[in-house]
Amino acid sequence: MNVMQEMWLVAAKDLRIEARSRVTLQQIVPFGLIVLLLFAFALDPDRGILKRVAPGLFWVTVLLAALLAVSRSFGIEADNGARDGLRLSGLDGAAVFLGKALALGLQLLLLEAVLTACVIVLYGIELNTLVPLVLATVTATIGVAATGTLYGVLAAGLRVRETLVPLLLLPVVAPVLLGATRAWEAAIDGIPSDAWPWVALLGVFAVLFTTIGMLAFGPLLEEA
Amino acid sequence: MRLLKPQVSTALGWLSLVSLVVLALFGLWGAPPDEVQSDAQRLMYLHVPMAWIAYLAFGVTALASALWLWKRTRSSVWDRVAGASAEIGVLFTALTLVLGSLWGRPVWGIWWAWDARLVTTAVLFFLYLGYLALRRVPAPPETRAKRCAIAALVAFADVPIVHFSVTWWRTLHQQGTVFNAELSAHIHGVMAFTLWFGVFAFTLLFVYLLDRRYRLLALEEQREEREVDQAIAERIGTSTAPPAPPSPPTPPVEVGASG
Amino acid sequence: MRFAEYVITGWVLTGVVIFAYWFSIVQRTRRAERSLPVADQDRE
Repeated sequence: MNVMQEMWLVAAKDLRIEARSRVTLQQIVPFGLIVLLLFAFALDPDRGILKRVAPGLFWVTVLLAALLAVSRSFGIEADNGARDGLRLSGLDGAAVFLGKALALGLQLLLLEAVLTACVIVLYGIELNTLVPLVLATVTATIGVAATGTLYGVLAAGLRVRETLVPLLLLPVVAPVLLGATRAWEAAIDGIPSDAWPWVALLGVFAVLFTTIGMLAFGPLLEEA
Repeated sequence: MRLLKPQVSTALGWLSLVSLVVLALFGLWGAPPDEVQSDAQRLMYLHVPMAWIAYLAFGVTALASALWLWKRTRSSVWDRVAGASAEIGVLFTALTLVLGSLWGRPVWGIWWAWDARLVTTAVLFFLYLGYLALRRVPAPPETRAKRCAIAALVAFADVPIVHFSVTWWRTLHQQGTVFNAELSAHIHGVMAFTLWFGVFAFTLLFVYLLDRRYRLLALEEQREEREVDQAIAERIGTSTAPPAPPSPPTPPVEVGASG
Repeated sequence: MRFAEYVITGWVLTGVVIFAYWFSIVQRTRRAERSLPVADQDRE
């Protein structure tokens, strides 16, 4: 089996588990919605602030939910020696990384789709130019999924995993938050061409961390 | 056990101290007040060199991590250098941020400025904290070293992206040119000398502290090893009757369990 | 000196923090050295 096939194998496994357990759909997406609601409570919808800061709130919510999704992605292998099974399976480390990151990314995209609909409805924004918006969202998601999978495996066997991963992951993905928010603001508030440089930045981040992940995942899995 | 010979280390320590005193003399008295910032400028003679050390220490951690990961140069020396440098780095980063705050308040009336350099330094601070948290997780030395080395390099790769994105972000939103006043063209003569001398003095201090912290790390690792050996020896050595199935000795260092 | 409170605070804080860190390293080093078997101790 080549790397691509192995990647699909791993991704399909993770997605099948999600399809059966529906944790992302029934727990992580609602968490995201709750966070959006909390922001509304905190910032008082009537003062027009929400509309202005909606892109930022959206992406902060996505990042917080991503922490849960990363935890879940590696939590499914915590029991019954599943991680050992993965190690001994003979699958290429890079392929396992790509597979897990792909599954994580797809779940995040699902989350983002739901949250986008809610942001439009609840915060009252309109989405003017879809292309830069969608591209920014997809590249940002790839970046978050890659980095999340990398730090997820780094902390996989540790008792402090749940408090360590947020501390490690969030500073590193700060540029994604920056870029995605600015790209959304450009797409929504008017000059869509302003979004492209940020999309480029997100693209560089995605490529860089996917590459790093492919290289580092195998060695880190050995130590987990 | 050490990076420098004892005499070199002590000499370096004294030299650092003298340099820092000289820096203080110039910074607080010898250099004139700035035309724009008045005496608040004097904090820059600390803030800028400290920022330099903060980034230097991070670079040392990354380099040492890379040297550890590369099999041909792998040695516990690099792992310890990485750890020592990170600890010193986080200290200097924190000081950089505090000094930045103390400088911003009199000059612009605010305790914090969303200036590109300060923000990047703040992110650096959190990257450090994460690395140090990772170092504290109990694990076999080789495992811990590998995990931390990879984490350090990932963080290092992130820093240019953070710097670039933040700088871009702040230039787009710049209110005026005020925040660029730090290394303005007004720096000349004694002021420039003081600034560069500060960089020199703190670099000496960094190397000295690195050596001392390295030695402490090495000593502590040795002590732990001996304690583990002792604990094992006690278990094996004390029983004369056919031993009952031994319960696993509780090592002082726990191996991380699954989470 | 104008803004003396800020300048002096900054310099003193820096000095104190660095000294405290250095001192803690020295203390812990001495403690660790004392617990070494005599053969391994070196004189500084």
